[in-house]
Amino acid sequence: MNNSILWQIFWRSLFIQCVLNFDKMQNTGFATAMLPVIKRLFPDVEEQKKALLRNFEHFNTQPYMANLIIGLIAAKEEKFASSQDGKILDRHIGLPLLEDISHLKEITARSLAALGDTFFWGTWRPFISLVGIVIVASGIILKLTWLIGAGIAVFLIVYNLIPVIVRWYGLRLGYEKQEGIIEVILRVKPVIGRIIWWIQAISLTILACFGVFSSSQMLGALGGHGNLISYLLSGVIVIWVAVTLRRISISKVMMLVVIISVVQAYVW
Amino acid sequence: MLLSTLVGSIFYSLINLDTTAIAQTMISRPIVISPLIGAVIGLLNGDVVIGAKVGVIIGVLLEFFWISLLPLGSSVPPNATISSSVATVVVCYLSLGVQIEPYLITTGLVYGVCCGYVGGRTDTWLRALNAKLVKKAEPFVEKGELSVINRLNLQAIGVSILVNTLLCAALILTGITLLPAIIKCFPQEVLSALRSALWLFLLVCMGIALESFVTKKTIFYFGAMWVVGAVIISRL
Repeated sequence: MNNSILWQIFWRSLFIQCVLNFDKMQNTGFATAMLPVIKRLFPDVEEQKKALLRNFEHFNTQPYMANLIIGLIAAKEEKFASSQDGKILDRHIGLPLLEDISHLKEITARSLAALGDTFFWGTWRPFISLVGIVIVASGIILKLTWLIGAGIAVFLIVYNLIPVIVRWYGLRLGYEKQEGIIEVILRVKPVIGRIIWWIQAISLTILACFGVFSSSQMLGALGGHGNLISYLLSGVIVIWVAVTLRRISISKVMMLVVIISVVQAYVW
Repeated sequence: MLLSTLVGSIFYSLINLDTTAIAQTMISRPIVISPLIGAVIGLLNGDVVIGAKVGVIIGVLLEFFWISLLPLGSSVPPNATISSSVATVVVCYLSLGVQIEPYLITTGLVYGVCCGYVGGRTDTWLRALNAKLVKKAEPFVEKGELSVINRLNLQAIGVSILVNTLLCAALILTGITLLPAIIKCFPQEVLSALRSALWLFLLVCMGIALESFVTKKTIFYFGAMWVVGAVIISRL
């Protein structure tokens, strides 16, 4: 498959969650990305129909990681189209090629979803959000407009670097390595684990420094006098909220904050 | 009022496509969408600076508040985009010609958070609707009509834009009409409470952010860092 087809798949893969639904999840998005492949490999209408049907099955993974699987399945469809009988056995798991395609799709989707959710949703996005928040909030506190703009730009640009790379190279990797991506995933997993650990450590440091700094600024802005006790008390509240959130929801914590504020206003 | 509502809701419904449907580039996160909507609403009402200022403050606070939202598998989290859009438009509109009051921001934030949950419910409903669209398209897929896939995508985008524009407009109008009336009923004590609640809100946001990074082992590290920071700041 040439670069132009891969570009078409890449562009269409951005719509992977367009028709996200509870029954078949990203099935329409997967078929959307596979359309250029189907059109190119199966000129016969009957074959096109079969190919569309097998690519319209249930599919669910992390959207940035989906391209690895799309590349892999595109390569498998290519192999299937050249064999034309579908009965050849796959060299890796010994299943007939068609069964192999849906089996591979299922297992890679599951493991990549776990990896992608942990890294992108659980770590990368909160980390870059935190960095963006700290820069923008510093701009507000120090009254530097350019810092506010820089914070938003950093958030958007730095965040998108990794997803774009993973989407484009993931597509190529899946297409070129095929089943080999399972080995790549296994090799990359511990490295990602270490990266996550470092990101969490840096985030905690940033959060603690920013927390103390913004507490002192907020207390000043509200007409209070910041001292060691009030800063430590703020830290206790932050840790209490973090621990409590494992048992009660954010909305209940919010209600509690409003009630405490009103009671405090009447008492003092 | 109607123009602000209409522009705010159309802007929201278009950018909201980034949340799930298209690309996920994060332009729909509160830290990006709020300043944008704030500036647009400010421009419409003749004060871009106030609008952008309100947008930045609300955007930062709500980004912090919704930092740990995880769109995992079939779970549908509250919608941070509608939360920040509605809060920004409402507070911008109420702040026109007056100073940005902290109690207005707190009230707007609380209202925005509630709207986030309503937005989450709507997203759930839209996914169920998508399932029906897919089911309806299945006979055409079985016939091998390739064009049905593109048609499905366009239908889903169209429905999403329409439903979200209407929802956002309804929430903005409710906020603009109800909040001033509610705030008028508040005694002075409650207004000052809402002012100091902004600080507590920030601490809650930090707690939420902490929860997404911390483990049982690292909570002591965070505590130690906070104490060191507090000692240094108090001596400066």
